Amino acid sequence: MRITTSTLAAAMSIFVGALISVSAWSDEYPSRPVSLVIPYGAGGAFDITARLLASVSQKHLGQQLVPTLKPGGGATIGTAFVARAKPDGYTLVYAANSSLTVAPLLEDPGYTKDDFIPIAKITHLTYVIAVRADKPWKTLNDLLVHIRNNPKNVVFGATGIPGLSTIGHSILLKTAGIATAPPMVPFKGVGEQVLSVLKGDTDYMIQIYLGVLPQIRAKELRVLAVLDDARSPLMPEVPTAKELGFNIALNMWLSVLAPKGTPEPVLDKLSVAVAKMVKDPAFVEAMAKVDSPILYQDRRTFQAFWNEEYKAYANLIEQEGLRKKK
Amino acid sequence: MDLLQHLASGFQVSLLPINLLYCFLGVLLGTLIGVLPGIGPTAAIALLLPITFHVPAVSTIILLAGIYYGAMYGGSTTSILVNIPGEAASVVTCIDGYQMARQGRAGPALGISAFGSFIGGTLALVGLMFAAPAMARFAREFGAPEYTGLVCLGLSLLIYLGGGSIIKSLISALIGLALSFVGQDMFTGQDRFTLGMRELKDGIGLVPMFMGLFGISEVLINLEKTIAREVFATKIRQLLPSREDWGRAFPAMLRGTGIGFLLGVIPGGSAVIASFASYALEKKLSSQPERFGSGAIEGVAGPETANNAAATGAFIPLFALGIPSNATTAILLGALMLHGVRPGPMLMEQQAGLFWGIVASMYVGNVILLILNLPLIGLWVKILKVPYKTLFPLILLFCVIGAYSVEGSVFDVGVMLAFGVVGYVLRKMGFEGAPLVLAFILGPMLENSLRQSLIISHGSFLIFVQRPIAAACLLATVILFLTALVPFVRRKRELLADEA
Repeated sequence: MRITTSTLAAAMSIFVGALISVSAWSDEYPSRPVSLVIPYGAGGAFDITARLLASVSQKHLGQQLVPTLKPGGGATIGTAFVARAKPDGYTLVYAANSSLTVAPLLEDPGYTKDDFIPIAKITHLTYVIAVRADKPWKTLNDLLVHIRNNPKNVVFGATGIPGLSTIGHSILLKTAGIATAPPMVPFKGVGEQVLSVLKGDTDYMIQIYLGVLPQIRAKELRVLAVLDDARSPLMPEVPTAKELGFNIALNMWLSVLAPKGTPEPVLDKLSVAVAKMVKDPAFVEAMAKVDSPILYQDRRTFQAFWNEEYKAYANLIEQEGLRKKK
Repeated sequence: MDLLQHLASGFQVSLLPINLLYCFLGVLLGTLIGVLPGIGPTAAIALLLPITFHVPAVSTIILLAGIYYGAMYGGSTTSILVNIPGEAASVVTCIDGYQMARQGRAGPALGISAFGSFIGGTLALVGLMFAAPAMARFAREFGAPEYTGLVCLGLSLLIYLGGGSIIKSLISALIGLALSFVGQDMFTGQDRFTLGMRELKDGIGLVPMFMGLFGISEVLINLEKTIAREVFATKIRQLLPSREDWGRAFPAMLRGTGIGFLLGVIPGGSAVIASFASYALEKKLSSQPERFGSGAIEGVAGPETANNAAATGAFIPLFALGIPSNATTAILLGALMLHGVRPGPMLMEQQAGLFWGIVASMYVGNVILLILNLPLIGLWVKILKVPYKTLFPLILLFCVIGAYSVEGSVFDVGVMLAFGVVGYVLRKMGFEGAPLVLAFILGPMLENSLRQSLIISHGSFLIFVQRPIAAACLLATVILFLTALVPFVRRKRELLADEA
């Protein structure tokens, strides 16, 4: 029984191997499907936008991008997996600054920033600061004045501690000159966080706009500021924090990256293909439906942006003493 | 009248041939996923999502929702047949379902869980139609202190889970609590008891753990026996539940529906807890609680009804608040958005056609599921006739595939095997798995909601008294413990009297 199985397996692998080598002769990279590792669970913004991108990949790359979920460890497991993968262009990662910038600065997740070469930034998800619609704070300034005067009577609702949103919160308080941070309640997910603000258990929250859109549209939550360089097309009436005089931009970018050591021609081919994918009308339309603007950056622009961002967060985490002790 | 009109238009949508086909595909896939241990509806729905890009919104949700509630039907099958829960909400079904199978009553056990699932699913739909806005307000009442109260009440159910000694139940619950501390502390981000393993950052996986505790340990226990298992010795008497079975099971189903629906509506209060709560309630109300643990049909009917009602109830916060209450409804939310539907408090008015189409399709789906599942019982029961020397490697194989497929992680397979050994040792020493699993699920909820409450109240414990729902839950917990203690104290006094 065992012999027959292994013989069969051997025969199969020769057959499959032959198929692969035939196609390898006929064409260079990419000659087989490319795995796009998503270090997050099913159904979130990562999963959905990656699948949308993959749905137009065949046409522009000549091969299918295959989204592969590898969740766990705060996105570090899938990311570390790609860092260790063979740099042949067949294993890419679809990741964010939460795992690529913040995680290596806070602890040792098994990889560093330099283990990855960007291919393209696809989009970024803007953070907003929101309160319940019937609260008296109409502007960001109202809220900050209230926090300064009553640090003991305000509660901040957060998710993912420590992470982008709590780091952003620290920056905001610092820029506003508020010394005593109000108590912070962490929640497992956006749902619980939103409900706590609606119930009044917590007074304000910082979250990716996608998580609060239903309540914003129903006018149950009021967005005080968009924490980004530019206003969001989804809520053009809401000012950015920068306009209000707070130099803070906080967004979670979603990018395609390859492991270090991937050959230059492969990187070129990939970045050309991704540049076409993000312009594909089918992709553009689908991204609009999920309220995710396409904010494409090519690999060089994005690398420069990332280097700057990394430096800024490194300084902040250093100053705040956030790095975890061994 | 208005409601009937809505429902009629809903049926017009859901009875379109194309939507009937999607509904059938959904519930069929759901049943299969439920039957296979490990592979849950969350992963299946996520995988199917891209296929639905070009399908209309209503059809998509009909398909995906079908997978979700269909999985609740299939989940009990392996619990009953081989003591391996198909998904977390069927852990408690193992206790009496598997005993029924050992007594040659696998047919009635499977039958009653199919009927129970149908009743739970359809009655909860009636609730969804009539009470969605009211229930949504109820769900909104639940903040951290309310969860603390609810979880305390949930933990008191432990008293009813153990078959034998209450001390042994408590010990296994404490082991479950200790295990639940593994992983990242939500409040500081600090890793706890992870031994430096990244895989443990999110805690020990629930699915691999219970597959090991129940399934693998069952295989190990049976390896000791040289004779054929008693399952095969006993003749399988009948396939469908008898009149007597129905008499016992029906009230349990009605109660299970109520509990499941209420807990399903609360975000975070999941089908798992609903199934445990229903089991405990049935045991408490029974005139012969000693039958529980040795094949009481109420112990199958209640929980299996409750988890289906909870799955249906979970649609209320999704539709009425735009807030998903578990991972699966979170993906459904994503799917809705992908199709340009904006979930939120206004969905039921603005997208009435979509809402009622989905509701009607769920009635249709439940009927299909019942028709689909009843003939399958005969097939499943035949599996028990497979000789154990063939069945045993197959069970192991399915467990390994199941544990791996949850997150595509070899580590999880290791976790499952380790818990197989743990489960074996615990059973050898007379400890039970169910209290361990319940404590493992509730432990982190208790810790997190307690800490959240105390931050919200600026450190004051009064918050648990000032909030009515929290206070009521805590009071009920105290009363439950006192009533459980009374017989214990009385027995002690009698013992003392005897000695004197």
